[in-house]
Amino acid sequence: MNIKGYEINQIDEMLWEIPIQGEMKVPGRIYASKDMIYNSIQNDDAVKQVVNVAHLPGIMKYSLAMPDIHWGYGFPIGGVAATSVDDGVISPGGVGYDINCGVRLAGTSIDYNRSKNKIQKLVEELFRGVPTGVGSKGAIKKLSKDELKRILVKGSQWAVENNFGTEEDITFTEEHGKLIDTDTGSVSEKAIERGLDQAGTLGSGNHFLEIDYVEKVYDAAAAEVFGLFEGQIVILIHTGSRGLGYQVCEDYLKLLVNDSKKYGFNLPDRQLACAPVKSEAGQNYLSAMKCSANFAWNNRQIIMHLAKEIMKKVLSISDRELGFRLIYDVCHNIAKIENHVIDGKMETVCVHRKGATRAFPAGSDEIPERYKNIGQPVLIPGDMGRYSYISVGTQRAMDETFGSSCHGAGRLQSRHMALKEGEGRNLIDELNKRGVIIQAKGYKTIAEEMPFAYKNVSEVVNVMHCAGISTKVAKLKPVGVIKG
Amino acid sequence: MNEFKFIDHPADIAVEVKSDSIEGLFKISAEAWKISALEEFTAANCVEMKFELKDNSLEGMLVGFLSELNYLLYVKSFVFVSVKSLSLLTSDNYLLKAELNFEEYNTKKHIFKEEIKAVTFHQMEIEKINNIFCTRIIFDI
Repeated sequence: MNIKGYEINQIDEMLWEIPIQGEMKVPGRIYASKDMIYNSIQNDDAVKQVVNVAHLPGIMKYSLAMPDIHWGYGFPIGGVAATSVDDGVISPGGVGYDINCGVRLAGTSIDYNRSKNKIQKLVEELFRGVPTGVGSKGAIKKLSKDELKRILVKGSQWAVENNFGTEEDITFTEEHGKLIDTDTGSVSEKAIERGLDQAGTLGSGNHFLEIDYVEKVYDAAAAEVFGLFEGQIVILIHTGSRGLGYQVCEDYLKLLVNDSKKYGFNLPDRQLACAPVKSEAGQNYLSAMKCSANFAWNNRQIIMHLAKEIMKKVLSISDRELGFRLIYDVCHNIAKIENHVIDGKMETVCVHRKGATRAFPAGSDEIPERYKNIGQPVLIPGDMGRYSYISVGTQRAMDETFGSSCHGAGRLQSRHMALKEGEGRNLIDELNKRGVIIQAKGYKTIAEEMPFAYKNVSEVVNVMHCAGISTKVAKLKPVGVIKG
Repeated sequence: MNEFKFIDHPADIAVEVKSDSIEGLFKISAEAWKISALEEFTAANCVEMKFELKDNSLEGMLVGFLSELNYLLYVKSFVFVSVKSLSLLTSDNYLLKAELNFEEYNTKKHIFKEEIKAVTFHQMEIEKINNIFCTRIIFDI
């Protein structure tokens, strides 16, 4: 078939290929159901972006897109691309403005049925205690520049050293909550300034802190290893590097738009601006990106700790009774230097995941010892009225997608359309009827983030499951949400 | 002519701006930014700030100009009110000189509408069609 002028062929039940056309260096591949292709993807310019990414110098194997594919800036959301570190490029558009936007899942020993009557109070206290919304200041006093720079180097280790969590939390965070080989000099003064009072803040838009319960376990063995059980109360946190990360992306996009010309790159989209990984500009961006990622991990660590303390207080229980434990933390906007087998040979590549989650299989050195026999948890948030999922990474992901899976649902409606659809409706009441209690900075945020504005994440997760990329472990149902 | 129109976008804010001068395009873009970021307010005690920016493309200049308004709001707590004067000179590169009016941020008066994470380059092409300068700007929220 043909989408937006590009030939695309179905090569497997859930896999479509755009053969090399024009100046593409590699084919494009999109994981999607037939229904997704015919009903949404073919009307979205994201397919063109998959083709555009295939123009990147040094790109290897495929320009990939996960089933939550939709239009982004440069890369599509749901885009994955690996470039050779020897002669390939790194592109801020392949990471996104919200560097290390990601998801953190913490489990408890609490059963939902026994704590239902406390959810209202929990939501109120979480909303009061976790800084949310535009311009919100951190739970900790405004940092000095030196202290902030320590966070940029240490990541979530900083939070643990300052009594916002334990060493065990570090173990269950992707990259142990810290990318190494950072140079804070690569982060601009403006970016530093934007981060000074944002440590420990949730932000706004589609960022959230949720109280969920495990509604269904699909894979009992994996669930047991991850510490999940049906009826269990869990906490899900979605946020990233806030203003610091946005500024880093903006700074380097501006710089690399000019550098692309210097290197003679002929790119179809300015937002694919890039530099050779090994160049000074490429290394500076990589360093600044790592610093931003570390800020984001520290952010989620602080917020998780705040949530834990609030839960103990509201439920009037001890640490031991609460049984609070970080299950895992994943990033879904990042570029990482990884080793992957390509055409039978081990290659070192720069893997860009833009709205895509790492999904490493059992046996990977990079995942916690406790999970090594099962694989890495893949956390996939949906909208606030329906479901979120936990899946597990597979060898097939390593073989086909550079160890990557989807990251969420993706918007169906613009914010404007969602506001119109919500007019005259009591949206808080509608959510209550779905069993969800919400507190948000503004009613507008609720309207923009209603379930009807989002695609159904179950469909996205099922594609990845059927394709064998990440297989379902459990389904979560939200019961309390706080938003900025 | 100086006008802007918001257009539907799946995730962020997209606006088309038009003016009969390039300077006017920058001014009206700043208005569009303000309306995207904040609820309407009535300015009272303004302070004037001078801007001087250099870039090698008009699009880069526009992104830089609007990003500066973002930075001043979210970091320095100064709210953009209006453009007093703006000139754009071209030689080897572009040079923008402007005097802008700002107010100190007041939580009771200046209500955030959306957090503008960044001003993107996406789909930004400043064109002159029938003597009218126009472009699309997308704000990442």
